[in-house]
Amino acid sequence: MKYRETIFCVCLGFAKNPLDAEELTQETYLKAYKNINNIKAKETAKEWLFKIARNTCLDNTKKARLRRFLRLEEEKEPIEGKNPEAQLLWNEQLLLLKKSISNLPDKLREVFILREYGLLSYQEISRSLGIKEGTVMSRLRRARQAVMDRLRNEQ
Amino acid sequence: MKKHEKNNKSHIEIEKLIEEEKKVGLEVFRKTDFAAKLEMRINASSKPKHLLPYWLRNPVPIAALLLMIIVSGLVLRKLIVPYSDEKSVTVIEKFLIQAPNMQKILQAQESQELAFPPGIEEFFRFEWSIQRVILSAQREVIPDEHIPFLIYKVMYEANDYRRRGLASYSREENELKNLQNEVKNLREQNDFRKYFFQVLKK
Repeated sequence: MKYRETIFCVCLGFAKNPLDAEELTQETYLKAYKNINNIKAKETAKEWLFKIARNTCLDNTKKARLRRFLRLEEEKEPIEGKNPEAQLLWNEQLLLLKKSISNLPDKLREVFILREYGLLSYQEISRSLGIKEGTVMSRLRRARQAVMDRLRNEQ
Repeated sequence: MKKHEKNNKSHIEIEKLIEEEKKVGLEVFRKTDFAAKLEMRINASSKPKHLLPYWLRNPVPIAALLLMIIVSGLVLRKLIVPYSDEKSVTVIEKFLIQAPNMQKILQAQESQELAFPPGIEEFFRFEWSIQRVILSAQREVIPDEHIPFLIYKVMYEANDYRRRGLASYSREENELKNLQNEVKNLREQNDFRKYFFQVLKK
């Protein structure tokens, strides 16, 4: 439970609101509990947990896309009337940022979120995703650029 | 240079936004009892699963499955078991027998078919006696002058049979059968003559 807030932050990067992020965090821990014996010797608990979180969030994104495609679920805006605190703070810019992040390709998005929301080091990201550090850096640069471009164009 | 500065500014803005989002999100998250919720979910997921799949626990699919089995069973029976005329006849017969008044009709029909007209038994015996005389004449050398006498004897015998009536029919029938067998077995003239005189003595 040591990393639960960091995991939550990563899930928040993938999700549209804190409630969904909490649900994803729960799902991550549940999967971790069920697969506790599958942890590899060479990876740390933190890396392993972030890998599960990332997979859970990407799965959820795919399912949400499918639901939207089948018109089972309407696309919700991140600002929901349910939470008054969130309603005050989630301004138009934040909404735009969320859209920009969600429009990124999965490979760029996961690196961006792990770095910006999870505050993971390049090494940790590379080990969690099984890619080289150089690749992490280049993907992160491209992701940041894409988000900034999008924000600029929208403003 | 300007572009670089602009990018930096944008990046800082993005970081600020993300920090703000995280701050709000974490406030919400900290209010929830994460550990209790997780424990509840773990307990729910570790409950033993049903042995039967869902569709077998639901009555509608089970009813549909049973219906399909029954229908396919009937179809297979029609295809595999050959059609039996005998069976159909038996079924029809049973049905007709159970029908009202059918028993009486059948009985009446049966009795009509089996009942001989009065005096027919005597006629059969007479006919057989004539045949017997002719057969004997064919098999053995009998003088022509004897034949009318023999026929006369037979005719006389026929009258006798008529008098005895139907009661003695079966006994007579057996005797005749025995005699018939004896005739067949006769080969020599002496035997035949003995036999013939026996008949005439009756």
